[in-house]
Amino acid sequence: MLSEVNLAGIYVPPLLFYACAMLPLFLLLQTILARIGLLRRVWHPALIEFAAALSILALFILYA
Amino acid sequence: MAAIGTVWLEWLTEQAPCRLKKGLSLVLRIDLFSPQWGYIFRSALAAALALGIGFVCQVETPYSAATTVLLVANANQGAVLAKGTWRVIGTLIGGLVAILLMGFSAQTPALFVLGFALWLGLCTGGAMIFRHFRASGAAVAGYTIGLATYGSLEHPDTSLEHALGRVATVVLGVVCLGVVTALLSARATPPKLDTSFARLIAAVGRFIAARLPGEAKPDTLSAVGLVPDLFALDDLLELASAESAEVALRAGTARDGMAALFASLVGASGWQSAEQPHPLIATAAIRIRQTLDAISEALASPAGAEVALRLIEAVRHDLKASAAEAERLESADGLDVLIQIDRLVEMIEDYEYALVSLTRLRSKRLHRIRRIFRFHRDWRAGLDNGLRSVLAIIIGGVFWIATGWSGGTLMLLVLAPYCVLLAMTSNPAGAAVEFVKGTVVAVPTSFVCAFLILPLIDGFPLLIAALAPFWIAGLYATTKPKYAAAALAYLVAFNTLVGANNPMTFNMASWCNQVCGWLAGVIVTLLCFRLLLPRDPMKEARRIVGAIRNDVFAVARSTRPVDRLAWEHLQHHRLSRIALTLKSDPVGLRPIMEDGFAGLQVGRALLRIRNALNQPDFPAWAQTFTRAALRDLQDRGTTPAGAANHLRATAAQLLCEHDGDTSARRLVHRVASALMDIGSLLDAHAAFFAFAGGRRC
Repeated sequence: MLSEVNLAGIYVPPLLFYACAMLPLFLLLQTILARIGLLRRVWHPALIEFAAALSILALFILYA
Repeated sequence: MAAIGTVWLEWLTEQAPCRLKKGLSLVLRIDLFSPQWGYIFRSALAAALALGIGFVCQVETPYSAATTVLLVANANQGAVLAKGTWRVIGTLIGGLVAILLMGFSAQTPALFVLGFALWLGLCTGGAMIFRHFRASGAAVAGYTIGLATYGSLEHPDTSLEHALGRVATVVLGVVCLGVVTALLSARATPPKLDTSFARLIAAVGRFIAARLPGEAKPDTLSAVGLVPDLFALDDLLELASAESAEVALRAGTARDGMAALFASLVGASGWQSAEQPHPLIATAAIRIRQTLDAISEALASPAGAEVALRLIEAVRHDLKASAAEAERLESADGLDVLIQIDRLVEMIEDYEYALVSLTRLRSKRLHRIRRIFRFHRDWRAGLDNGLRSVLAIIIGGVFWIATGWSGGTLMLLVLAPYCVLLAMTSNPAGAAVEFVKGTVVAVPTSFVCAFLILPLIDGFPLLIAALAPFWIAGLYATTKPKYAAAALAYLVAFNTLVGANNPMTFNMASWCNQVCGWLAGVIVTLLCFRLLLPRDPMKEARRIVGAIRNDVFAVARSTRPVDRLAWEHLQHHRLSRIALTLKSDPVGLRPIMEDGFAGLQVGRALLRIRNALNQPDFPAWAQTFTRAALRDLQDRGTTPAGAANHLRATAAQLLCEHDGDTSARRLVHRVASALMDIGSLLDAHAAFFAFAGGRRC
């Protein structure tokens, strides 16, 4: 896990970097899920999407 | 005394029970499980969550996160997600510009005000040109400067901290509201889009049926009324796309269907037939009418689209058979019948394509749409509103610098967002009055909350218990269209004036200064919209309808291929903008919409002529005549009556001199008919098509 990131003298929390990295991956995953029609079959699509976003973020925090 | 006592006794025994009953029935009528109350509780929960996380993360102004929630809150999930996303993007851009501006204008307030005014003007212009929530992104980018630099103008060394704090609170508020709304509300817009699309297909079908030969013609206003309803599908599509990735992938299909549906509406509204139609046309009309009635019934059921599609396909085949029969007619009006059937086929094909799009929208398979749609951008409105924002900030800034009033920065902070947000509404001056009312209500309520309730409590749960009733009251008012603008102003002003912080400070002098700054801000906003470049809806509508006319003549001039559906979709957007602009003036709206429809009919006739001219069978001599007539139409020195006469003469010439094979005759006759149509439309709407002083007026 990263510690604080020095960006031109400004200390930025690592969570921000992880969240920024998570976003494109999540959008890609969301498009794939929509294309294969999985989101039509689940009870709460937003919950699945939220869980997917959190999982990607957690993976970044654990392994990046 | 005895008399007063009797009156009171009478009131208590007779009137009080009645009033109590009335009040109780009103309270009992409140359904806390309705979607409306669901939205209110969700928004209050998200505001509390944002405030709590703001305290935990120790952001600079935690109450700003709650304010962001209350500003972005919407009953529709798609609106929350799209608005929130563009708000974050706008805040990031605005924060970056704020840091740069503070760097360039440290210790020089005049330069800062000038830079702020120019940036806000630019962003206001952008907000007027972009559509949907991109516009709110541009607006947020503009006014974030004021919010991000508030409090750091006197201490430029803290500007970076302030800007980052602002970005953090906005992101926090948007994420909290987005998560709460996504998890606790249903994705209701995609099914609503589906139902609305089906309902509008049925409505257009009924309109077509009423316009067909042999029926009493309905008022043109019914077509005018369908225009904004049809374009409302585009707004619904934007919301549904934000809610569901599946709909976003099918947005092109939905827009394609919408364009086709509008094209069929235009086809029906331009239908002109003789009092006694030819038997072939009369038979076709009866067949179409019966089918459209059946389609209207079929579309009421969820699985009716496929049935409707099969019915309309059968009608199209029958019409093609009628066209073949018309080709065999010997009489002189045989070609006229053929052209009328051609137009019926075109209308039915457009209608069929709308039904195909509906089935594709519901289908699991994705269909790639290559058509590129354009939308109207009102550059003049962008310029006017941008200029107003520049002037407002400069005037406010000069007042602030000249008086040296510390509350002046708050006035600028209020003036900037209100100038840009109100510019985006249909009645900015009216909405500014509502903003004043909302702010006035926020003053006593914030005083009660900040100085009478909050000093008595301790801890976060009690803080939320104290704030929630005030938020809920404001959120409830946002659900009532009449009070929505005032409620928004109340929520923002209340939250900021209370300024829930940790540790909480109770400073009456600072609160009074804030109240004065806030009230000055809203009053100056109202004056700006009344005095600086006041909005003239009629002028705006004329400008938009002028853009339709210019596009019509561009079709006559251009040699590039024009996609009919995409071209008509652009004009549809313009017509719906006109309907929205003149919503409160139905008398003024009608002639402008009729002119717009006439422009569309002329454009469609020109496209028919262009298609015929590009056919290899079209005779060269007829090409020469037709091109000369089109050149005359574009001649700026020609009056509409002169152009119409030339078009009619050309049509007569084409009809007299045609010879050659059947295919060429048919094409020449089609062009002659289109020229006659344009001629009669130029005559009927001469003022709209008039040329004045070498320029089209």
